[in-house]
Amino acid sequence: MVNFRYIPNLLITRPLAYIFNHFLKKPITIPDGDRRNKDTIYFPAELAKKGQTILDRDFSFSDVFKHTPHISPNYRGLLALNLMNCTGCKACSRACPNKCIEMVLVEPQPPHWEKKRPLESPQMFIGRCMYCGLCVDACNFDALFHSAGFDGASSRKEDLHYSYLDLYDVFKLYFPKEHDEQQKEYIETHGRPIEEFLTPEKKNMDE
Amino acid sequence: MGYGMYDWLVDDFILPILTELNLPLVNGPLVTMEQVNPIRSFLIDSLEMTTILIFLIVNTILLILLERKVASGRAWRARGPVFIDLNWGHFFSWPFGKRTIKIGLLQNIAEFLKFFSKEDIVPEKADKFPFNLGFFAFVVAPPFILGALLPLGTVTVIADPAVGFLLIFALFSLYPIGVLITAWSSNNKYSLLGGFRGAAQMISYEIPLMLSIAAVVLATNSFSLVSIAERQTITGWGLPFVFLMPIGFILFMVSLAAETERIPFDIPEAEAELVMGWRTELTGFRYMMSMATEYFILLIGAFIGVFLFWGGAYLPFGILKGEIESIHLLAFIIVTIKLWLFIFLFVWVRASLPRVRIDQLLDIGWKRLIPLAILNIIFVIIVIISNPQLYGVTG
Repeated sequence: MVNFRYIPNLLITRPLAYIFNHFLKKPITIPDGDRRNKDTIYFPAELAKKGQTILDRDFSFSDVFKHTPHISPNYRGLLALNLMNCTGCKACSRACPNKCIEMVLVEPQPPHWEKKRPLESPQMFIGRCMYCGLCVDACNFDALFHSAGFDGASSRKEDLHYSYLDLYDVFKLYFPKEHDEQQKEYIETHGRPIEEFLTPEKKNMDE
Repeated sequence: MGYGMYDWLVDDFILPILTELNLPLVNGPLVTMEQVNPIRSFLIDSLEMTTILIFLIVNTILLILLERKVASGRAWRARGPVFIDLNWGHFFSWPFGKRTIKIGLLQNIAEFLKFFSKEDIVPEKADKFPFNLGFFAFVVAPPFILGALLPLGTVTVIADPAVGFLLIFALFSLYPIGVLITAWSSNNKYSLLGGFRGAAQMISYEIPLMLSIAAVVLATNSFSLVSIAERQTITGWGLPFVFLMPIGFILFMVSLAAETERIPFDIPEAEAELVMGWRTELTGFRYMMSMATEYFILLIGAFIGVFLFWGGAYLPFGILKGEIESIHLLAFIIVTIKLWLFIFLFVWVRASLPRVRIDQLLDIGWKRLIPLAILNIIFVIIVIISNPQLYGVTG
């Protein structure tokens, strides 16, 4: 790494040196010119279709932040929901100024939920969301986050309705380390990961 | 003068065919030398003109691609245009394995086609005659005339008049007139303002440009690009003028950037501030030609810079001098590589620097560059008086 403070700034030498340093580095975009969706390295949804996460590439998650400095770690992107922490307290729904968060009943109920009140979780219409972050502030149980995801655009309106499982998928994509740790604990206590409890019909169809 | 490489083609192939065809010419069939000679020189001239024109146009298109790949691609750690290209992976799969290799070679061709297919709009209240004539006769046409004066090697040049590159700058100075005519006649206040700014900038930066070149002319006593390039092989230490008069070279680069309206001096067409400068009312084909002309002029400026300051086709310290003079292809390749390195400097600066304000621009031009240029000339005169061998002055 070059320290540009040691380069004397005669007229324009320091900006020239800074840009020349960029010429020597590898471009962060993918050389494959065929697929439009692969124009940047940062499309975890494309990777997920192949059954990969960011960690399966040679970039780690922190490297992604290093290589894409335009995405700051506290960037307010797509919302991610950690279903294992959610208690259905409706704080996010009440905090939302645009009324895009709606609480729906989780069916079937996951095994970690032992209270009498049935568990509810947020679903979102992100077409109405303005990414203000009030819901994340309101959440008291470390369940709702902003991820770094920005590729939520779609040509169909139905794709903008995110169910709690979709929000959980965003959490899995953008916070793979945190998700893996917590899922390990969950499997130790309850036997199976939480999404298998929540989608029993799908599992039967696969079998 | 002349390239000397089409003589055999005309003598051995084209003229025998024309003689056998027995064309019904005014003076009868081609038999005597008096009948053959004008046709022969006409054929050779037109082949040479075609060569330089194709060289300039191909290099202009590739230069725009270079700019997009480097200034808007690699400088921001992206790749520039990649989609519109053949898949070179079909042809060169061996070293890389089987994968798609695209570098966007056809991107500019595709965009030229797009501009050609657009509607040619002349504003309703525009002054039609100057709008057409001023643009095509003063902006687009002059750079194309210059091809005859640009050497593609050591002595391969179509015409080498005594006034030399002064003729090139004379045709250059038609450009601001064309800009003003186009801006005024398009009947739009934005293009008029942009035209004023552009003309002011180009006229004021012509002075340091010519003064920086005047130092070279003083040292070489010549206006010809060919003889100035040759002189740089017999200077002190065998170095070209870029090392012997560095201030003059920097002045030349800065003034050329301002002449060609490039960042950091692209005030006439500041995209964010003025709409598009004097190009506001140009559409489709006209817009494309105005942008292409800008790069065309940059290429011609690079020719002048390479031959005045970088020694043209010759290498420093007299390396391979005999070979370069005898093998025209080698000289051509060296000139092309030097041109691209010269242009790369401009692209690099463009990627690094922001735009200056117009008062800063005029400050730099009148208060810094012109005094520096005069100091440079005084410096060169002192060197010529005290140590004439340094600039290769003999006798």
